[in-house]
Amino acid sequence: MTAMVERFLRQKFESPLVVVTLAVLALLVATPPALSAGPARLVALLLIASGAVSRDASSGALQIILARPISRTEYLGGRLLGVMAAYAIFLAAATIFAFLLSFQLGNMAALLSPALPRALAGAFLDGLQVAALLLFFSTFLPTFGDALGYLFLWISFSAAAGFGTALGRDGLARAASVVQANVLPEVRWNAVFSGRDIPTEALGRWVLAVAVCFVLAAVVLNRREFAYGQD
Amino acid sequence: MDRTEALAFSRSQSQLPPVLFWILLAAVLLRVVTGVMDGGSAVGLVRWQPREKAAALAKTSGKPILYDFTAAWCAPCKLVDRDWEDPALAEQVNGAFIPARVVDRTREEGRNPPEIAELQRRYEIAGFPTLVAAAPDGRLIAKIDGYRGKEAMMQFLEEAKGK
Repeated sequence: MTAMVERFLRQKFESPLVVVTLAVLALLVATPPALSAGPARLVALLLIASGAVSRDASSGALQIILARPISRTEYLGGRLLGVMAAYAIFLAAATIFAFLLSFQLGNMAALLSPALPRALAGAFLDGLQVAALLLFFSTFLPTFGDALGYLFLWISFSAAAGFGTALGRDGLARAASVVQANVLPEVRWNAVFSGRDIPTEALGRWVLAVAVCFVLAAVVLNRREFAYGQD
Repeated sequence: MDRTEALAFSRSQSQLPPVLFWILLAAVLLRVVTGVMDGGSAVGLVRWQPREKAAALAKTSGKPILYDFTAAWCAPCKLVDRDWEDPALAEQVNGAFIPARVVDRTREEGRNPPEIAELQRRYEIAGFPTLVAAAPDGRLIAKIDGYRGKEAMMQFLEEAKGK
């Protein structure tokens, strides 16, 4: 498993363009208020996680890996761990940048509160849910189809809720909102970590969404047949 | 190894480990338990309901929903919270409405979850505190913004109940 994680990190960080892009995104995430730039974190995660399985499948590397004594589920677990390790490195870089920026601005107080570790842990756990969904898409969509699939899902939910409200179709708006809350749950991690929001239904939704995405990814990958020389 | 042997070998690795089913089962159980136990926030004597449940309860009971749009940083909202301790006011709310709190997260988390943003858009919430009485179908019945004292809140509830 460690070798799988190392392999993923090598694959991701071998391209200078990816490293520079992630560094710029980490700077954006680090600008005050630190770690609140959700879109920059999402773009970074999409860059890290997209093609986690599909690129191995299309390049033929997956077939070679599966010729070793490793199960497909272990391979998937290794890829997810690799994505999360890369994302943790990204968040660590953003935190270092945040400290450097705060030091320059002479405003270290905001970063020395308990809110920072909570925000970091929350960002990491939010990332795990998105990564699990991307991993699922990556088992059957080609190359960057997983990132597009995620964006399509997110836009569809938002559009359905918006159209429902605009057209006065409350049922549609509510249905879109409920599906979105279960497929892409948003947990108030700060409230959960401070003990103010336990037990929260959103936490249950998050755990189920992560578990379902990983299990579905395992089911799809285990049912796929990979022939040598083609995908 | 020819293609048939390769596929057979590949299939031998294509077994779903049983632990995945246990993980899924545990996640489903946790989802059910948190859904049942999430009784909403405990503020005052009012029996606040989670937002999703409030909409469903309003439909089955036919009672209007009373949304309390509030924020953690908002000082006047603390005065409203103090009034929810009043037994007469709480009885009025618990008896005639399905109460639900909508806590703004913009200042803490940079943006609101979509369902909160959607409710704020729908009822055109411009500040806090704001109380909104809404029919089970989501139609606005009455709205009061800012803190105007306990008497004004009682009067608002009476009027909203009668509409």
